[in-house]
Amino acid sequence: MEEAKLAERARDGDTAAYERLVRMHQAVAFRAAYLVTGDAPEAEDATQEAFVKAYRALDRFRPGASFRPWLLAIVTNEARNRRRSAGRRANLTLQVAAEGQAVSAAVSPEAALVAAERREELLSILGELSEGDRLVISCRYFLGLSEQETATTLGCARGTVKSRLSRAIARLRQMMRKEEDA
Amino acid sequence: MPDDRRFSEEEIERGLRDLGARVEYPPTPDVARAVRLRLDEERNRQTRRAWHWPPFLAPRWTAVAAALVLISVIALSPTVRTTLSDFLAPGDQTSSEAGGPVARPESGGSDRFKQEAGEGEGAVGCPAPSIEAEPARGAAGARFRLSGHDFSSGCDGATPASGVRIYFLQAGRTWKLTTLDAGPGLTFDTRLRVPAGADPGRATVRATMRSGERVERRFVVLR
Repeated sequence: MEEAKLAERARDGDTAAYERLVRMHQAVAFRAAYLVTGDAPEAEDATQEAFVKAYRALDRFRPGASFRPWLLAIVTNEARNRRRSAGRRANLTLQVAAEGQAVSAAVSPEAALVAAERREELLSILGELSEGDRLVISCRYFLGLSEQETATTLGCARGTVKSRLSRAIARLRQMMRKEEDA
Repeated sequence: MPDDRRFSEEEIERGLRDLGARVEYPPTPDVARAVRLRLDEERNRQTRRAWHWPPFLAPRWTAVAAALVLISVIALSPTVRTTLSDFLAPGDQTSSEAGGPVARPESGGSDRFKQEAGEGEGAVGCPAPSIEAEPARGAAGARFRLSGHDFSSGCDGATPASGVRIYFLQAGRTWKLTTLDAGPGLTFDTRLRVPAGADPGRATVRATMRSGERVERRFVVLR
């Protein structure tokens, strides 16, 4: 059944339809929460709470609109509030997968090592960015959201996403240069 | 000299996309079922609350009945009627002064009734679960006792909660200590260890129920 129909039935109080809707989006919602909290149990709690809040707010969901960014806005808010109320600073402790077999066969071991080092370096510098910069980068490049979806998730205009992203990348670039110089 | 091509925006964007595709997230928990259970439970609770009182004993109707009894007493008792009319008669200072103290307990009685009716309604609410760590401080690796009360899976106060997850949290790190079930008295009592990797300072012990409801207690990790 299509998403809009499930959302409509859920709005009428059909919790089974809502369960299906949740199942469709729980992976991206959990990842979004995890990128904000950096803590799996906290992300799980935030995701669950956000879905419950979203159900209660279904009346405010515009029929025909995309459910995912609307939901992700609630998820990221919930995750940020939880992290703040716990008095913690966001720490980006992500694990990066090792090079796959197919890739290893195609590139030399030296090149694979350099690429892995660059990823580690990028990840470490990302952790030093502000929460706002990190969030916009996470939405676009980690969660694979479009500019419009990122705008809805972050509650700003599409143009703002473009400018924030551009500034975040400029800062990242500057930090990488500094790192290289050092 | 830094390589300008390496630090071009396109290169960084490519690097971010590559990184994004390789990030390993923890396995996605199945929150869909838990969310539905919570929503169904919430609705059942609301339904139960609405039907808890038989219609003729509902606080609203009890208040109406009490008001009718009060009016009947006033109407049928000449003494009360006279006192009340003295109290209410404008311009008659003497009877007002005499009637005042008699009339006040009546209104006080009415307030008390409202209060009692309100308390009756409030008593329908669910008991909130709580946990207690004893001692609430200890060094890494030390044992402590954790007891919990009112861990019920529903609002009926009869079904003990199962699958209660106990976590130890400190500065962004989380240790899962155990998963347990509450006993018939909706309580649990268990011996746990402060995680070996915990640092001296403040920490939190958290119990999370299947419904997502959770309670926390502060814990101090000693040197």
